[in-house]
Parts: sequence; C-alpha cells; structure tokens
Amino acid sequence: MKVILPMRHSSSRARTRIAAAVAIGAGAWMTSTAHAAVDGGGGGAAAPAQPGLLTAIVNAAIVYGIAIVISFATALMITLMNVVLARRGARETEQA
Amino acid sequence: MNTFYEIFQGIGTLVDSTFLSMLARLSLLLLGGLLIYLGKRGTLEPLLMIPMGLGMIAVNAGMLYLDPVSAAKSERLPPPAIVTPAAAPADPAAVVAPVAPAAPMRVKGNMVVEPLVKDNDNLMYFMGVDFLQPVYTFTFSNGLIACLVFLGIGVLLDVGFLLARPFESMFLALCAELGTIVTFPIAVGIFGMSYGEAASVSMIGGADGPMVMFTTLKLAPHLFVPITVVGYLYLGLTYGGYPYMMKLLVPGTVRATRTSKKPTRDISSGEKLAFAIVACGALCLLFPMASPLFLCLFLGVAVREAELAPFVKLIDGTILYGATLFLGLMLGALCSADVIFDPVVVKLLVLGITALVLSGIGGIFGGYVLYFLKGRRYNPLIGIAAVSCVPTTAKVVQKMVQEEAPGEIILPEALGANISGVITSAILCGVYVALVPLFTQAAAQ
Repeated sequence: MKVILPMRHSSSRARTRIAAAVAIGAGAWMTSTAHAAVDGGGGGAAAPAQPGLLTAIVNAAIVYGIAIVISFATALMITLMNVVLARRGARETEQA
Repeated sequence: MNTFYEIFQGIGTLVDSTFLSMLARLSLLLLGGLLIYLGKRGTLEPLLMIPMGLGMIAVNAGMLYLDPVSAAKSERLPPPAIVTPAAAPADPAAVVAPVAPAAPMRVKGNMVVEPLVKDNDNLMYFMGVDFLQPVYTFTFSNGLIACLVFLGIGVLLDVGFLLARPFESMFLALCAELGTIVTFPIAVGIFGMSYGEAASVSMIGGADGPMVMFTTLKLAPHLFVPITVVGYLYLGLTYGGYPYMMKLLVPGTVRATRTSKKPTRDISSGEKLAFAIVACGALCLLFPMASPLFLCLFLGVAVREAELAPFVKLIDGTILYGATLFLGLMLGALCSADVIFDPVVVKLLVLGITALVLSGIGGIFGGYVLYFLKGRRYNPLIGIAAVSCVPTTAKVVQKMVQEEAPGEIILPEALGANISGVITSAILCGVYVALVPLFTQAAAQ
C-alpha cells in the first residue's frame, strides 16, 4: 500500500521557509532567555513582579469578552436600525 | 586615508564600526533596495514600500560623525560619572593612579531624524537641524499621522457593506482578531514583556497600522519606533503572504465555493451617516482614551455620506496620500541600524508574525463556520478579509476567488468583513488602552 505523506509535495523552498521560521523562533527564545538571565542576575533593586501566563490568559479573555459584547451590541444596533427603517419605508410606500 | 574618511563620512563611519554594526547597515541598505523592488513589482504595497525603502537607504548610507554639540544633545553619550562621597573608595590606598581622561567619543548619527531624544531643549535643537524632525515630533510622536490615515480610511469606507450584513461581518471580524488576543498572553507569559508592551505588539494582529501606532504611543511609548516599523513591515507582507496561507488552509474545491447571494435592501446615505454618528458617540463614551481614532474614522465616514465633495477631495487625495508618503518615508528613516538591531526587535518580529498568522487562521476559521452553517454555500476565504488592512485583504480574497471560480464576485461580503475588522480593531485598541493600566495596577498589588 502506498502511503502519501502530507509533506510529499513540499518543495525545497517550503522547507527553507520552515527552517527559517524555526531559526527565528529559536533565536527569539534564546534572546529572551539570555535577557532574563542577565536581568535576574544583578541582585540590585527588586524588579516589579512579572505577571504569569495564567493571569495574562485571564486578562486576554476579559479583553476579548468586552470586545465581543461591544461588537455584537453594534451589530444589534444596526439590525434594529434596519428593522425600523424598513418598516418606515414600507409604511411610506403604503401611504403613497 | 583618514582625510578620505573625514571627507566621505558615510564610508568613514561604515569602516569605523564593529563588524556586526557594519553588517547591520549593509543589510538594511539591501533591505531598502529589496522593499523598493517588491513595491515596484506589486508584491508589497508600493505606496508605502517605495518611500520606506528609500528612507532606509538614505539613513543607513548617510551616517556621519555628529559635531560635539549635536553629539551631546542626541542623548546617546553615556552620562558623565559623578563621584559621590558614598561611591568613593573607603581605602585611599586602593587608588593606584588617577584615571586618565577618556578620548572624546565620536557619536554617529544622521541629518534626517533623531527619534531617541527626550529632553525638550535637545528636541528643539534637533528641530532646527534634522529635516524630518518636525514631521516626527508633530505628527508621529503624538499620533496625529495615525489619525490622519484613519481619517482617509474613513472616507474610503462604504459602511453600507457592513450595514447590509452586520452579524455575519462582526462575527468574522471577531474571529480575525484571534492574533490580537492570543499574542497578548504569549508576549507576557513566554517573552516576559510588560502588559503595555504585550498589548502594543498584539495589535499588529489587527493589521491596522494607525491602531498599532496609537496603542504603542499610549501603552509602550519607549517601543514606539521598533513596534511601528515591525508592524508596517509585516502589514506589507499581508499583501504577499496571505494568498499562500489561504492556499495552505483551504482546499481548491472549497476555495471555488460560490456564495449564495441574498437580496439586500439599498442603504441610504442618511442611514450610513446616522450609524457613523451613533457609533462614534457610543465608542467615544466607552473609550475616551481612543476617542481621537474613533473621531477621525467616523468623521471620514460622515464627510463621505454627507456628500461634502470639497472635503472628500481634500481628505481622499491630499491628506491621505500626503500622510502615506510621510509615513513611509519616516518609517524608512527610523530604520537605522542602532534602532532596528536592538535585541527586543527579535521578540517583536516573532510576536508580530505570530499575531498576523493567528489572525489569518482565525479569519479562515470564522469563514469555515459560516461555510458549514450556510450549507456549504459560503466561501470561507471571505473570513480572511476580516483581518482589516483596508482594503488590501478584501482585494486579495476577491483576486483568489476569481482565480478559482471565474466570474464569482464576493467583494461586497469581503468589504463588509473588512470594514467590521477596522471597527473591531478600534474597539480592541480602546479596550486595551483602558484596561492595561488596570491590569498593571492589579499585578503590582
């Protein structure tokens, strides 16, 4: 039986792109780790507490929640406006 | 030879630098040329990339030694060491010999712009020296250019596409903000950024340059230059990169889906104007910090719908194109090696592309949801048009659909999603600007 792998059609250019993306990611990780090590090794004044990942996720969820409510409220406002204007249009047509 | 380097200081400063610094400048020269080439070919947005590329070349080639006064005012020199009694060594025997005065440090700079100056006196000095300093100080560092571009975008927006299908468009726009939301915890939890920095870089996921600039000015002004440059570089890439993403995530047969068209009633200009007034008032009431952006966007819409022809001509032509020209030129001029090759830029590059990719994926996910909800009679590619970047993504989607299903017109749906994307990005900008100080306060307690 012939097994078709998803990467079968990938060109060398695509592989180069993936390798570049991985290299950039690794570089960024190393840079941030090195900075964290330097920042943490000073022993000087205490740095402000860095918020954790979980807190940041909760905060992002709050931001998204508010944005969803406001966006859908805007959509609802538009729909109501459409309904009112459509009814008025129909009434004016009837009267005419 | 030294005389030669003194006369031709562009070459002199290049030779008189570390290998890495020299490499950085040469790379940026080449990058500037590449941006111009890709802009001319139409791969990237030419209106932005051609002035940006040229600015980048000019600033990295035209580096010179600043005179002592300029060098001192550029705030790049380390502050003079002041020996206080507490800092003096306790044991006089430890002092072996007086330290010889250091050789005067030669500071390199350019005659275009000095973005790192903070002190007001020094700023006034550079206003009279660097030709783009007034443009930077009076339009960039206060967000005016972002508002002018937004005003121009407002004039281009036909909100009728949004008013015709509000829930569908808003749903897609919210899905296409995935990157703006998910990048925030990644930046804080994994990259160790502060809330303000994380929110600013996350806004790149909204794919709206003015919004990125505005959020950064409010929440992370110290990263204004690198985030803006990275943001705009990536926004240029949406033009060339999103088609590949669409091909990767949506199979050819689905890309050719023909969208069922429901008859929509004509939206009058009065209705569009009423929407602009109500939306502007409500959003300014909710987020006063972002009111300049809302005002400019909806002022543009109002001018268009009130049919104020002289204003439309002024904003659509002079203001929008003037702002875009100076925006591109300034972004290029800000790309000097010392600003761009800051370690934080690597983080921003990774987070920026993460935000844009996630937003694209979110948009396509939203498109797929509507595809299944509407019984496979909706093209999921429309979802990616909700990554605002008006009107680039809508045009890119229409072009791709045209290739797969000749004669199929999805531009109205795509523009509806596109315009909603601008509005949701502005809402998210407002939410971030309002909430991040509260998050920071809570974290400090």
